[in-house]
Parts: sequence; structure tokens; C-alpha cells
Amino acid sequence: MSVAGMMRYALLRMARSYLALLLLVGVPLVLIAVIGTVSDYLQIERYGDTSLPGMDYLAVSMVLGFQLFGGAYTMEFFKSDLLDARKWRLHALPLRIDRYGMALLLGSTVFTMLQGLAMAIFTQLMFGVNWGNYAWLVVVLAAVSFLSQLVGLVLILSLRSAKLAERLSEVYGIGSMLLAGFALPMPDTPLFEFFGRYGNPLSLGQNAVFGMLYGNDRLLPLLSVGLLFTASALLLPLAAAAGRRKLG
Amino acid sequence: MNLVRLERLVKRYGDLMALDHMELDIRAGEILGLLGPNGAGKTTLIHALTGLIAVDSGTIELFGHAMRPGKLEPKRHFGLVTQELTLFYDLTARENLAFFGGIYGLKGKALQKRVERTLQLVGLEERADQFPGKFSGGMQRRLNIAAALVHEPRLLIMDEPTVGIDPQSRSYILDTVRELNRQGTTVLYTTHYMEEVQALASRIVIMDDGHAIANGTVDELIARIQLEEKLQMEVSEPTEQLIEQLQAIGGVKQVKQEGRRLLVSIRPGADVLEPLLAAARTYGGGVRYVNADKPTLEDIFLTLTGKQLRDGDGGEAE
Repeated sequence: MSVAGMMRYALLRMARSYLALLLLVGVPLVLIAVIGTVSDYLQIERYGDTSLPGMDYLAVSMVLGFQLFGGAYTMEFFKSDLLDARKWRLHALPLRIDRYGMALLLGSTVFTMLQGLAMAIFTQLMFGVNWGNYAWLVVVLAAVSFLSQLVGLVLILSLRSAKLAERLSEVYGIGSMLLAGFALPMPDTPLFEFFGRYGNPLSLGQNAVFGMLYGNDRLLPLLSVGLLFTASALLLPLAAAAGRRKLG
Repeated sequence: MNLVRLERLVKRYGDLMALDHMELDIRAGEILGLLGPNGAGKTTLIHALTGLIAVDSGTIELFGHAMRPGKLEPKRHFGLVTQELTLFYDLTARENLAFFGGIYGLKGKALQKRVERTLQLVGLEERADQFPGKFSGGMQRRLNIAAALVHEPRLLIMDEPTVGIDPQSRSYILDTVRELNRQGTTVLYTTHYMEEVQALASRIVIMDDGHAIANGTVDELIARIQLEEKLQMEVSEPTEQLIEQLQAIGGVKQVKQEGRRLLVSIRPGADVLEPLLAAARTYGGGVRYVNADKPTLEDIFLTLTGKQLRDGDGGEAE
């Protein structure tokens, strides 16, 4: 079976993971609806003197922020298929495990992206959120999602305890949101300013979307997406090494 | 013709010798029952055979191909039924089979046909579009078996396939195994249920301490091990004189009395039934009941390994 064929089954299974859908699609939409309705009158200052509606800032940040937790799909599917219950069964099949792993990784990336895209369309239709060019949004979602899947993959393949790996992936998601100043204001120091702008995937995603919409040039959004893909490129060999060690 | 040949397999886990120069052949068309107490090395053997683990030394040959982890070709020819259910609970029964069939390279109409045929074989055709989570334990086991059959393998490896299911489902599974074997599938069957092996297997291999300690049909093993036979007899008046007379009969090893019941141990092959009955009629006031027990697989196993097969039904800790 081709990687695409295996991806098809992975996507089918993800589409039926109703609890994950509730947490990764239902919860952010509810948060956007509730907080956005309250804060829509606010104007958030960003990119020099440009102000944007509170709902737009919230929706973009929330949708990109929840992409960071999408690595849960990769972790859960690797755990159940290749590390736990089905490990022996799948290893006994005439199946290259690296190709199967690739199908799970790509399937999780695509599925998380689709979730993000569905939420973006929903918020545009319901709340009039301006997402700009959807083709660019797909690129941004792909960059954030792929990086998050790889973070989850490296954690689940490197650590002995799957529980610890899951907790650390949550730290990655929540930590990125905090560093981006999304939940709480960060200290006004050069270090936090740097990490708040370039040092975490949520900020890079925000830069990519808002920069394209409101920025003066395209350097910042392109640089941000470039940094996201570079981080993924750095994690890929780590994931491959951890996979070779743990999956044989 | 041998489908599988294992020669002098050695696998160590630290100080533990899980496989100790294990030798095994699986012949085309047979149902080979693999028995062994917990920790005997059965699971390690099947892991090595299916390419999950590398052995330290020795050779594994499957269908003429050397087997080692990562090698795909030999894996095309066998199906594996694991003790744990390895179904995808978020795919329907039909989708589960289509996934496994697809891995073996089946596509399109051919895949569809095989899936339908396999669902029919395990009696799940009417539940094809339901999720396995809605099935009873026995039906889940049957689907687990179907997933190993969809590509119509020449060899079916079954590791404790009937653990924890109702008698009706067990009987269905055993009938399915017999039917598959009748159609030409060779089966390697490991279980803790002695009666399943006795009912199914054309040949039995008993493992202990990482190697085979016996190999043959049930009758061959009984003949080789020379187990004593046991006879139970209930008489009207079990007198001391009767017991002395019985013990004097050539071929009788021992007589134990439990109330009116006498338990007589007889040397293998000794023809003592007539003299025993005659003595009981003369000195015991008449025979009320006689029952002769032939040695069972359980007796053979106990004699060879000194262990009960069902010590802890939970499987092996190897």
C-alpha cells in the first residue's frame, strides 16, 4: 500500500476521534465565540501603528495556537500503532515501518491543517474575521502544524514514558502561547521581545498572517514561515534517529 | 515439505536464555500445536519467527527465505493472530480487513472480494459496517483472526487466539481453523488450553526452558513417555484381602483405597482388566463401577515439564 493509501486510513481514523475533535475544534471555537463577543470592541495594536479588531486577533491566535496541540494526533497514533498494542501486529506485516510512520506524520499534519482551515472559514462566515489570502493561510497552517507534529514525534520517540511526552507536548503548546503574550503580557525586556516575536511557533504564525495583512513589506511573514520550516528541517533528522532507535 | 525451519536458535535477554538452541520444523498442511509453560520461550520464538526480534544466533527460514527483522518478503506468506486484539476500533470491520489486505498489496475488486469472503468465513458479513467496539468479545476475536486471513496466507500463526471468550465463539474459531486447514492452510497454534491442541493439532511440540523437549502426535508422545494408566473401580465390599489380591496381579503398580473406590495404577501396556474384574468379583462382593483413564496431553505435559500448563493464565512474562 502506498503512503497515500495508508494516510487515507489515518485520516479516516482521525476524523472519528470525536474527543480530539471536540478539544481541538470545539473548544477553540467556543472560546473565540465567547471571548471574541466580549472583546470585539477592543482594537489590538500590532505592526507599528496598525490596529486590528479584537475578534480578528483572537481568532487568528486561537486557531494557530490550537495547531500547536495537533501533535497529539501523531503522538497518539505512533503510540497505539507502533509502540503499544499493535506494535507486534504491524511489525509482522510486509510493511516498511518508516513509510507507515511517514503516513501517520503526514496524515496528522494534513488533518490538523484541515481543522485550522475549517475553523478559519467558520470564523470568517460567523464573525467576519479577515484571514487574508487562503492559499497563504494554508502555507502558514502547514508550517505550524508540521512543526508541532514533529515536536510530538521527537518527544514520543525519545522519551521512555508516553505520559511524560504528552505532558511536555502540552508545555510546548501552552509555553508558546504564553511566550507570544497571547494569554498574559510578557515582561518588556529585549529577550522576551525577541522570543515574543521570533522565538516561538505561535508568534511566527501570527507574524505570517498579520504581516501579510497589515505589514509594510513581505519580509517578516516570509521570514516567519521560513523559520517554521527551518525548525522542522532541524527536527526531522532528530525524529529519524529516534525512530531508528525505537522502532528498529 | 517444510514451510518453516528453525535451526539452533539462541536468544538471550541478559542472563536469561529465552531460546536455547531451539529447533523446529513446520510442515506444509499440518496444524502444529506449540505448548509450553509460562516462560518456556513460546512468545520469544514467535517474535523471532515473525521478524519482530533478532536472534543472537541460529537460522530462521520461512518459505525458503531467511527471516530477520526488516525483511519483508517472508512476511507476505504468513498471517499472524496475536493474543491481544490488534484491531482498529475507529475503522469498521470491513475497513479493518481492507487495511490489512491493502498492506499485502491487494487492491480494487480483488481486495473487495477477499474482504467479503473473509467476513463470510468468520461469520461477520452482517456486521461488516459496524465498529469492532460494538462487537462481543468472541466477535472481536473472530475479526482479529479475519485480519490475518484476508490475504489467504499459506501459514497462519495463532498465539493464544481464544483467550477470554465464550465457549460458543471458541468452538466457532476451532471449526474455522479446521476448515482453513482442510483448504490447505498450515497452522502454528499456541495456547494454554490443552483440549484445544488435543482436538486440533496433527503434531505437538512441547517447549520448556527455551527448547523443544518433545515432538510428535499425541499417541506418539504417550507411547514415548510410557505413562502409567489409571483405573477407578467401585466395589461392594473393599476388603484388605481384595487389595492384596489386586496388588499381586502382574502389571499393577499400586492400589489406593478411598472408601468403596479403588484407584489402580497400571504399568503402560499391561493387560490387566480381566484379572482385576475377576478379583473384584471374588473378593470384593461385586463390581459397581469401572472407569479407565488413558493418559492425556495434560499428563504428558506434566510429566515432561513438571509444571501445570495453566499456571497463571495471563500469558508469558518473557
